[in-house]
Amino acid sequence: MSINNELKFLNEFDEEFGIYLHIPFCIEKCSYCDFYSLEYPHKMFREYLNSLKNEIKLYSSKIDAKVKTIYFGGGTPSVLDPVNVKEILEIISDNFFIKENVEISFEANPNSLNLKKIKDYKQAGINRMSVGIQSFHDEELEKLGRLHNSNKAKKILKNVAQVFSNYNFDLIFAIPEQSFEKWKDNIKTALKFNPPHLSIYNLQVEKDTLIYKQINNNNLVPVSQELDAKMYKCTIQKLSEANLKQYEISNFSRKGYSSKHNLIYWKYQPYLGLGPSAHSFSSKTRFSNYISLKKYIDSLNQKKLPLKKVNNLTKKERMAEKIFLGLRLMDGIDFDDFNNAFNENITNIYGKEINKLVEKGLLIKKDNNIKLSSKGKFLGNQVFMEFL
Amino acid sequence: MESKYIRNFCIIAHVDHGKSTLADRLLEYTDTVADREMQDQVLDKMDLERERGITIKAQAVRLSYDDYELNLIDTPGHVDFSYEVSRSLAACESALLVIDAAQGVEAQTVANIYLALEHDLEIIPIINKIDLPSAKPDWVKEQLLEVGIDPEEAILASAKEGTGVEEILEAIVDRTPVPPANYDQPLRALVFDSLYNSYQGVIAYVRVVDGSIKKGQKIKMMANDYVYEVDEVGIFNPEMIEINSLDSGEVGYIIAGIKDVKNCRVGDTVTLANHPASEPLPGYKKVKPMVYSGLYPTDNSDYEVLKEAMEKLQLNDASFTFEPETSEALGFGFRCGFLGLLHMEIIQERLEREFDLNIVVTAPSVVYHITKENGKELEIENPAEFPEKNEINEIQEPFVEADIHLPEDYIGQAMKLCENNRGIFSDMQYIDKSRVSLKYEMPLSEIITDFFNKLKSKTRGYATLDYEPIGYRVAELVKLDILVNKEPVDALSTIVHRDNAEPKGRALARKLKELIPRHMFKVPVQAAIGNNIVARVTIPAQRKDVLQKCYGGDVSRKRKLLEKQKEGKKRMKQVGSVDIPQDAFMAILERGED
Repeated sequence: MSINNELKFLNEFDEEFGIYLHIPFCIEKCSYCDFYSLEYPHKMFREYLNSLKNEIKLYSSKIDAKVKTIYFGGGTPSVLDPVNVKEILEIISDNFFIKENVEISFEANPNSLNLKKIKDYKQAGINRMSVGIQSFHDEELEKLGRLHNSNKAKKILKNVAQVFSNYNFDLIFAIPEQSFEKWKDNIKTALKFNPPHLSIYNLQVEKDTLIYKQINNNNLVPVSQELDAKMYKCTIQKLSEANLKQYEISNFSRKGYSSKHNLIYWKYQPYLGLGPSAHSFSSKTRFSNYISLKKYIDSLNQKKLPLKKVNNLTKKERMAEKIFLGLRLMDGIDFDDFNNAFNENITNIYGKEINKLVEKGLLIKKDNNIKLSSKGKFLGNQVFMEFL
Repeated sequence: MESKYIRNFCIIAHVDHGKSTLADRLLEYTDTVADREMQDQVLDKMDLERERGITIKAQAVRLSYDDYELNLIDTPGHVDFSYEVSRSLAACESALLVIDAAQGVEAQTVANIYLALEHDLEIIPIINKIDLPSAKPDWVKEQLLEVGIDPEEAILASAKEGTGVEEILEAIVDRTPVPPANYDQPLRALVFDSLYNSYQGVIAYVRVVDGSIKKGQKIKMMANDYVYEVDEVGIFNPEMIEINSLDSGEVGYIIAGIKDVKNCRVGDTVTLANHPASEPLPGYKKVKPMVYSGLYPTDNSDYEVLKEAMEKLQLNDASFTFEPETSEALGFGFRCGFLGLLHMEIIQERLEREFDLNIVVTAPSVVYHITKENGKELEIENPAEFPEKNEINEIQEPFVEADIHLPEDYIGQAMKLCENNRGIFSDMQYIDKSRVSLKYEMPLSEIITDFFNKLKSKTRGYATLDYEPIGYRVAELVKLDILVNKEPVDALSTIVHRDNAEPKGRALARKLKELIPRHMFKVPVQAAIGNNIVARVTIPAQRKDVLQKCYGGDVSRKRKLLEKQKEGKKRMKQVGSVDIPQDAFMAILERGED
């Protein structure tokens, strides 16, 4: 392993970690999305694939730990040909130690899938598929700028379920002008598929997105906070009745099907992000890649890691992050886990905050554990910020 | 120097007409400031002055031109500081009247002309910014004629491009009267400003009218008879340079171990302790604050820090007053007096910036004169201290005469606004063919709300405003209280006219609903007059506040969002169990649509 002083933080990858691959291409940008993505087809697509492979090789010489999850995210990973996916996975397994039962997830848009392609992805090594359905109502899909319609969504879900036993799909609620009935209807349709996993979150209106402008110009009316809360409450209830257990604020699964990769983020474990704009965490340091595809490629052509920012976290920052990420999980935080990680006593550090939040009914403290109360799930930010 | 080689002048102008830029050019042209030291608004020393393009403190500088010593006294341009301006003017023999060639004569231009005439100054009109495409010098000349100034005397200039600067300097020498030389009289020097320096104490800016002053002499401040020994006299070049003596006709500074600007007030006369003048120079008055508001630290533990910070600011600003007060809602703080709204904003901004404090400022109030049923007379500057209604026999409030200049097209709009703010029409005059001077007698309390902003918006920015106090008048006033979560918040109380108390209560409650964030419980906001609730709104409980989508690795960004949210909460003032943001205490200033 050869590491110069500047990249010393890579030594901090001393336990099993996840790999995230950012595929920054989309056929069309969704109206609510503020992730880095470029129009596909793209003239630098070939170069991008080469750079991604080089980036994997560069890191492999510096990190010895085992890979426990691999996640293709984007953008739209399903613009990749299954052959590309196979090549990428081969390079990863040729260069890293891979853990047995590795979870390999793949994000896909219904519009860029068909039954054959789904089978080919599985053939290439993917073992968990995550489909961006978002809604089963055409007018809502249109507002979100999605290219598929409701029929296509249902058809693709059937195909995915036929090929993969482990899959997820995403749904969005609190879409501007969405009624409570329409949302309930979306849940009902979703549950008909009896999926092993669902990711469900409210629409986050980010600055500089099309939907932000539409709301700002009064062309779209956002849903009220009250309705948003009502939709969320109904979601938790209906999914629980269908045996989909809420294990994180926005994630629900049948037993044994929670997302191992996403759990890494919340359990404060290390992950390596590859591709332009990808973020990594070594367990003590956060670092991220150039956002520009060109800079990313240029840097790797010079055999240099395409790092834009490296941020060594202070202990205080790490303790705060561990708590606000960990509290997103319904299991909450075990004191022993926290105390061992930092060689501290959590009650010495956050005792006051914890008691205050318990008193407000936002946290539940039991034995050596804290977790969000039912009310706390709705007001998570009020809880999280107390620990900053 | 012999007085026949001395000229003392000032520059007066409406805001933004180019006063500071012209001063910069004069300094450059006379090589008073080396090129490498030149920066915009040389005379405005505070960052705040440069940023906002305003002069807060008067400044003096000596320019050498041919054989002459030209003393420029730069004056604050804002109506809040009109007394300071009048003292600066009293130190001069001429005034450069700067008028924007595109904007023409404005309310403050006229106010400045009257002030200059009152002090018998020679007026040298400068039509500035002639480089602008929209410049209309002939139109400005017509306006000058209307206000009694000979347009033939006007000099066309562009301070920005440097045109007309030499002509202006020639005019200063030729037209400014030679200062009277009274070397044999006992010393009389006029203090036209002062500032505090932690090493030397107070530095008094003076114009020597009679006699002369040098180091070692014992001087006496005629307003309070305090005696000091002179450590140093000098001139501004523009840095301070020590000289042997300041003589009759000259402008400069005195350092005499004075520890507090309160003992060296603007307008006071300095004389010799052992050979005093019999009469002080005319015109001294102790300036009294016009508006008062409460200043409270957001974090109660900052009380001492705030106190020290205000003491420091006061060293430099004798017209800023403060004394401790307690609010049930806000805890320990201070009731502060200001010359006007701008003065208040400046102090607030300096406290936050220079001392890194988070403060809550309550809505400004004027001083009310109250006669109680038992005959006792009170001066109330804090609405929270208003006596009960049944104890009051009579209330008087301060009135001003407002002079509004605007294009005739907007007269109707402006008159309506004045009348809605309890204005009483007194006069209307055409300044030129299309511009009008509108005079209204108005309660000062109406002016210190967002009156000026509204006036600006109703006249598309064309109206200008000047005002002066005209005494106290009886008024039907009541106290409007605000209850947040059923608890009265004394810091939100305000005094309003009986006739519009209810609509104002409703508007204020609505405004507070917008400004106070949701809490975990419902928060009712009520407006009350005495025991009568006149308005009620409810801020609904916070139902959902959670970052739902949180994966994909960019945790730093999520953390920053949470940090920002937390910071916002910290800046709020906790009253009972409700967090009230700083701007809510100013909500009364924005009274919605009149």
